[in-house]
Amino acid sequence: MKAVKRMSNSSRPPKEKISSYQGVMVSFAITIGTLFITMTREIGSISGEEAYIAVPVAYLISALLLVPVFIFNSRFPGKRIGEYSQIILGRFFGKLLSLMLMLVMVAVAALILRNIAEFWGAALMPETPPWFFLITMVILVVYTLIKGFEVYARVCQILFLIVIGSLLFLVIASLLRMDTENLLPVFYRGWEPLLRGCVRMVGFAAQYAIFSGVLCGHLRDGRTLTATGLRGWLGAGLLISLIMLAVQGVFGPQQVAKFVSPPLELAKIIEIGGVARGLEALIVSSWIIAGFLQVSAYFYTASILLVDTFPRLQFAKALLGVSVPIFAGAYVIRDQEQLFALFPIMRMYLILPAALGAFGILIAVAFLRGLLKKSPSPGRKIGEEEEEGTG
Amino acid sequence: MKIKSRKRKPVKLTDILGQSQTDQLNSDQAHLEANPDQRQKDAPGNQRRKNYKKPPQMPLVGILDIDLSEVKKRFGNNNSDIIYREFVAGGCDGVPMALVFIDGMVDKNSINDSILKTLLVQVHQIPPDAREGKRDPEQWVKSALLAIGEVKEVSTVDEVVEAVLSGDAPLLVDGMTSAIVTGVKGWPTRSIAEPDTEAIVRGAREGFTETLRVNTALIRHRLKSPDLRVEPFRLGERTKTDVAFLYIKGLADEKIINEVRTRLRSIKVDGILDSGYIEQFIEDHPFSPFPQVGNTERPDRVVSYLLEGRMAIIVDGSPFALILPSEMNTFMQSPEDYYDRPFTVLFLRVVRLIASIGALLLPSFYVAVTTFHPELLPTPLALSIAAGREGKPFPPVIEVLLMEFVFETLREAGVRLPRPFGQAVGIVGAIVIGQASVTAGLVSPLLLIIVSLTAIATFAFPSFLVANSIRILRFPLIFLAAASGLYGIVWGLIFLTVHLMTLRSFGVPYFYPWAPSSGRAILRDTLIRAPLWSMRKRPDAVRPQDIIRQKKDMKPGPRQKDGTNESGEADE
Repeated sequence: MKAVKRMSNSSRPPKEKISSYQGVMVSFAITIGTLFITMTREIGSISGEEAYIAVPVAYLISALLLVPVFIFNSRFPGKRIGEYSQIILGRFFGKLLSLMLMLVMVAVAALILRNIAEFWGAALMPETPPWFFLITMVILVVYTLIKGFEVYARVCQILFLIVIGSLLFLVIASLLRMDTENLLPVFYRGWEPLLRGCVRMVGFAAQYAIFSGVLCGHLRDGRTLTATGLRGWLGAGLLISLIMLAVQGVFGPQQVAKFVSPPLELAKIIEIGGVARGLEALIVSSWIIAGFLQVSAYFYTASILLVDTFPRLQFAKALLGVSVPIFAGAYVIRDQEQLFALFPIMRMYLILPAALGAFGILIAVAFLRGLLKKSPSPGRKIGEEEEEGTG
Repeated sequence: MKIKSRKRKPVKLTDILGQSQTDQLNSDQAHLEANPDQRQKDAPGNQRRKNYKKPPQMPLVGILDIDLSEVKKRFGNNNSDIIYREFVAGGCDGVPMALVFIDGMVDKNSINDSILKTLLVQVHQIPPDAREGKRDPEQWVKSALLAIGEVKEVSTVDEVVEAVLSGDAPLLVDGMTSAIVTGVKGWPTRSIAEPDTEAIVRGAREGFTETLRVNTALIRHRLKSPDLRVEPFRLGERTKTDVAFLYIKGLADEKIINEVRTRLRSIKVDGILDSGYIEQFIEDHPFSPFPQVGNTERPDRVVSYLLEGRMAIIVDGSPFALILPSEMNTFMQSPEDYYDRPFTVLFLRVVRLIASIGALLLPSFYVAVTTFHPELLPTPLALSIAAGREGKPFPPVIEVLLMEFVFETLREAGVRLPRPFGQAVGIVGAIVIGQASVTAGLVSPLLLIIVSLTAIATFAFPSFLVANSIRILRFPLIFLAAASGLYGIVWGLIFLTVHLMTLRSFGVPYFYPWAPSSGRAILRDTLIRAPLWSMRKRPDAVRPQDIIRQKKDMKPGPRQKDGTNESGEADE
C-alpha cells in the first residue's frame, strides 16, 4: 500500500499511450525482429524435416506464456510489470524482481545487438569491425528512445511494414524454387525433434512475455492487450513459419542446418525474370531496420524496468545507464562462434527460467494474497483501492 | 445656413490630461529635445525589452492647432511625403479642418472627389433647412459630408499617426476630440497574375498579390460564407504590418485557433516583412529541416484548406499565405489533384512519390553501390559502370559532391539572374559543363545522368519547401553512403524517420495519417485520392468541428426510370 502511494507521488513523466495497432507493430518488431536470421538455422538443425512444423506449433504453445501477462493486465490496468510486482510482492521484493528482469533484458539486448552487428558485417561490409555497428546502433537507439515510446511506436508502424514486405517478397520469390521433397518425410524419428524445436522456441516467447509486461502499461485501451499481444505473437509466428517453410523448401533440412543465415542465402539466389538478381543487399538493408527496432525494444524494456526499480531516476539517465552495459556486453563477445554458443544457453538457462520464475512467483503470491480475485466493483483498479486505504 | 466655427476659449492640456500626466508628457518631450540621441535609443526595438515602457497615449484635445502640431511633432520636419492639408469647410467662417496623409499611399481621386470636394464645395449645395439642427460636427461631417465607404473614429494622436502610416487619411476637425479616419488606401499594386511557384495545367490562374485586401478579397470571392473570419493583427513594432488570420467559424478547431492567436500575439519584433517571418516565429520545431507551416500563392488552395478546417495567415506585403496546421501529406498535394480524375491523380502522386525517393536517395545510392556493393547491379551494368569510371581521378563520392555543387550553383545563379539570362545559364551550364566534365574525364557519364535525374526529380514536388528540405538532406546521406554504404543510408533514413515522427504542426502529428495511422484518411486523400463524391467527411487530421462535408450517396450515374440514380437517390 505504501508502495502504491509512493509510486503515485513520484515525479515520473506520464506514460505515453499507443494505439492497439501500434502495439501490434511493436510486438512484431520484437518477435520477428532479426529472429528469423539465425533462428531458422537453429530450429532447422534441431528439428530437421519437422522444423517448419515445429515453428508454428511452438508459437501456438508458447502463447500460454502470455496468459499471466493478460491476467495481471486485467487486475492492474495501466500498470507495468515493474509496478504491479511491487504491489504484489511488496516494495523490496518487487524491486528485486524488476531488477532481475532488467538484468535479463540487458543480457538479451547485448546478445541481439552483437548478433545483428555480426550479421550486417558478414552480409554487407565484411571488412568493417563490429564495434562500428555497435556504436552507431546504440546512438540511433538512444536518440529514438529519448524521443519517447510513442515516437518509437510510430517508427515501428512505418518502418516495420518495409521489413514485413521484404520477408513476404522473399517467401513469394522462393515459391518457384521450392521442392516439396525437402519438406518430407515427417515424424519418421518420432515426436522428439519437433518437441525439442518447440522447447527452443519457447525461449523466444519468454523474451516477448517480459516485454508484454512493459507494453501493457502503454496501451491506450488496456483491455485490448490480450488481442494486441496475441495478434502480435501469432502474426509473427505465421510470418516466421512462412520463412522457415521457404528456406526449408528451397534448401532442404541438411543445407539449412549448415548455413549461418538461411534467409540470407535465400535472398542471394532470388532472381526475377532473369534481370533482377543480387538483391540481397537491398533485402538485408531492410533487415537493418528490423534489427534496430528489435534492439530498441529491449533497450526500452531494460530502461523502464530500471526506472520502475528506482522511481526517482529519470528515463534518459536510465537509458544511458543500461546502454553502457549492453554495449560492453555486446563488445566483449569474441566472435560469431562464441555468440552462437551463448544464444541457446542464454535462452534455456537464463531467459526462460527468469520469465517462468518471475510470473510464477507473481501468480502464486497474488493468489495467496487474494489479488487475483475479481474486483468487487468492476472497473476499479486494485492500486486505487489500496491508495484509498480500503484494500 | 452655414456651418459656424464654434468660438471656444483656449483649452490647455492640463484641462484634459490632468496636471500629473501633462507634466510627464512635457518632461518626456523636453528630455527628448535636449537629447536627440535618446529618441533613437528609446525607440521600440532598440531598447532592452525589460526596460521598454510604452509612451503614454496622448488623446486629441479638440483644438486643431494643438492636435496637428502633435501629429507633426511625431513625424518630424523632414518627411517630404507627408501632406498636411489644412482647410476651412463651409466657407470663411466655417470649421477649420486638416487632412493628413502620405503621398503615394492614398488614392488621390478619393481625397479630391470624396473628401475635399464635398467639404469645400458641395457643402454649400445642401439646402439650408437640411442643415438645421446639425450642431454636432462629428455626426455632421461623418454622416452627411464624407462620401467615403470606410470611416472610423480615433481619439488619440498615436492612432492618427498609425492611420496615416497605414495609408489612411485622418481628418482632424477643430472642436472634435476625435479624428475621422477615412479609408482611402491606394498605392500602386501588382496586378493579379498566375503564380510562378505553383503553376498548374488545370485550374484557376489567379495568384495572390502583395496587397492584403486584394488577397482577402480573392478569398472572399471564392468563399461566400458569413462564417469566414478575417481576424486582424498588426505585427512589427516599427513596420506595423497588417496581418489577417483566416478561418471558418464553426469548422476550424477552437483549440488550434486559440493557439495560433496566442502565438501571433506573442510575436514582438521590430518588423515583419514577409509571411516567412511569421512562419519562423510560430512553428513548432524551428531547427527541423522540414517545413511545418505550408504556404501558397493560390487563393483556391487557401479556400480548399479553409474548408478542411485549417487556417490561413495572410501578411500585407507578401503574396504567400501561410497554411496551418500542415502535415507532410499536404506538402505532397497539388491543387490540381482535386480538379482531375482520381486515376490520373493516383498516377501523378505515385510519380511524385518515386520522384521524392529518387531526389533523396539516387546520388547516395550511386555512391554506396559503386563503392561498397557492386554486386547489387546486373553484370552488364556493373561492367559498363566500371568502364565508365576507368581512369577517373576522383572517388565516386567526390564526383557526386562536385556535380551536385555545380548543379546547385547553376540553380542559384539561374534564380538570381534576370529570367532570360537565368534560363540561358541553366541550359549552358547543364549542357556545356556537364559534357565538358565528362570529356575531360572528371566524372563518369552515368553520374551525369544520376545528377540530372535527381535535379529533375526535385522539381516534381508541388511544394518547393519540401523540395528544399530534400535538397539539403541529400548531402548528409551522400556522406553516410560514402562512409558505410547501404548501412549508412539505412541508418540515415531511420534517423530521418525518427525525426519526422517527433514533428508536430500545431499539435497535429506531422506524419499523419501514416503514423499515427488512420485507414480512412489513407484511403481518402494520401497516395490515393478518392472520388470527390465519396469524400463525405473532411480530413480528421485537424479535428474539424463539423466533420461532414457533403450528403451521402453522391455517386453520379444515369437516372433510372423511377427517377433515382444508381445509388437509389431520388431525382429532385
